[in-house]
Amino acid sequence: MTVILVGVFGLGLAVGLPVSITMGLSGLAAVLLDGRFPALVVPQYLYNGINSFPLMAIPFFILAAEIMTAAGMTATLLRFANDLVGHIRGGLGHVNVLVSMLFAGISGSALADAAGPSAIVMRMMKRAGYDAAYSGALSAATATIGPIIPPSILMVVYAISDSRVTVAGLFLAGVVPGIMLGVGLMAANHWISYKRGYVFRSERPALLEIIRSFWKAVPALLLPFIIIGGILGGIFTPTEAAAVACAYGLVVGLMVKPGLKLRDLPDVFVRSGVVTAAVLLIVSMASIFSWLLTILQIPQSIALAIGGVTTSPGLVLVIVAVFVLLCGLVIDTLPALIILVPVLGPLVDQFGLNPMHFAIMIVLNLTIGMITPPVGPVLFVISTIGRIRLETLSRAVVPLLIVELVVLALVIAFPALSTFVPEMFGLTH
Amino acid sequence: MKKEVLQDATPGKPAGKAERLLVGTNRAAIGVMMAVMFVLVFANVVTRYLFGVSIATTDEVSTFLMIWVTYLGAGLALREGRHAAIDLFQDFLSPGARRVFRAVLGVVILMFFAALAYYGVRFAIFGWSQETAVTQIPKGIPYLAIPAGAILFVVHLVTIFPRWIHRDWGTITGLEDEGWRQGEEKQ
Repeated sequence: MTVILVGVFGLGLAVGLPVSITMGLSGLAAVLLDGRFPALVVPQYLYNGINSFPLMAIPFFILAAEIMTAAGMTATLLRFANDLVGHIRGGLGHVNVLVSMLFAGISGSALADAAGPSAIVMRMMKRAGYDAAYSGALSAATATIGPIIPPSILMVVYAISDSRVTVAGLFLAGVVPGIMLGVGLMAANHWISYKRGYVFRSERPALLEIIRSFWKAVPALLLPFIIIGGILGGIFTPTEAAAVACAYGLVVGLMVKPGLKLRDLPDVFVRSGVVTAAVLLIVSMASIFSWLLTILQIPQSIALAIGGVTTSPGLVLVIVAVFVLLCGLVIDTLPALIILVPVLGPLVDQFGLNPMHFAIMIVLNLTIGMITPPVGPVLFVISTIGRIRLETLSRAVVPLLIVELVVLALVIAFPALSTFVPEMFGLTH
Repeated sequence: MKKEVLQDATPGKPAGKAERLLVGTNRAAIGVMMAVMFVLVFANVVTRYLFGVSIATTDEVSTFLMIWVTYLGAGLALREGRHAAIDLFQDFLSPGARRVFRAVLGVVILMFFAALAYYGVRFAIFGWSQETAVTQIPKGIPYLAIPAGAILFVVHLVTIFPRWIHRDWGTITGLEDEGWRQGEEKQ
């Protein structure tokens, strides 16, 4: 059964079957060919995997993002970022990083993020005169920031799959590592722009202009605070917070700063529904796959193998980091998370690790794996969209990757970087 | 009838009437369900804080809607090329070989969803005699989302099969729209 499950999965991924379908197909094939379980466990787990009220935070985050974009609130963020840092050397590069920080990846798929906001700034960079490979590499690198900075769908899914952590705890735990990633990438961008003589920058706007674009961006900038504040204050659950964020976007877009028309709304709901379907199909299909892994005792044996190598918590973190990074090389972040969390979670108890620190490390590792040459999937997407040769892109991403690995090493070495902020708010998990 | 639709859907050609009706109805269903889901959950927050009343059924009903959106929307997501896949291997093939290869993949996917429809129907029948926890409707109603979505997925894939073979949906689209383009124009 193990051979069928893992074999079909590996083969499916390799030949380019959609990730969600690959997991469902390998699960169905394993159940049918093995015969130990009735075939009806397949629809049962597909159903149970998404029969969850907390999971509904995901469609609402997606809806909130669509509303914000349709209302022009996302554009105000881009303009604000450009006014703020566009005039510095390597300006648009900084804008690229800042936008990823402000508009943290809402989709939960590093692949979709790379194709979304990052791709738009990449085109702007190319048009301004940056070389295509560097524009693409920077866009790939910034796509890893989204899942760390709250609100993050990956963190919601992590907290649902592992009872050791809460959504609020993980959201706050990601703040400092996310800022470190952003600052690190901006520093790298500054240095590279200086070295290569990128002089393109937009004109320095007058202070009044910056204040004006800040004022316009305020409604969009407030959104994460409403979500996180509401959850922390115990006012609403993450799912409700996400729904409130949608309502907030509608009120602002329709009434306060009109940018949204009533006739746009059907399209907004439809589009977010289609995106939701793609994301939750992965969650649904991953649950039969991950249940079978558990039945086959694969998580237990991997955890046992990792735990058997050493008794040092520090060394375990490094082994896990390498293992997760390798997984990130071949599979998108969301399915990888659903498969890996039950596999690795037990190590937290065994080695007395901080569960929030562990979670941040895993998410960071996965997203960095996605941009690691020569096989990181985000690189494929960027190379397709930007029509950049994979080899060229791979070389260009190396300095940025080094910066991210340094941040990762710091996050692993100093648990306080992840745990300090949530503990400040009295959250220990 | 089916054959006509198939021919209409060759790359570059506009969709036929039947196909437009299918996509339009499907999209409308998804949109309405998303909207109802949102209204239910948000209304529950409002009534809880303003009137101190919580409506117990909203959590369950909205979760069922989410399950239906997921499966009914899967075929539309396919049409837009939103199911992320790693296409590296296919890129190494010659265009002709790639089309043959993708045709085979397409048939595998059709078989998978056909199987899912079959087992899904049996699962829904199995669940019909049980009641859900809060609303006490037959469990088969939410269970039915899986086979219904699977059948719809098969129909969508069959109607766009030539496009599937040619990977004719451009690149994965993310958050591109007018709002961003305005920001871009400013440069």
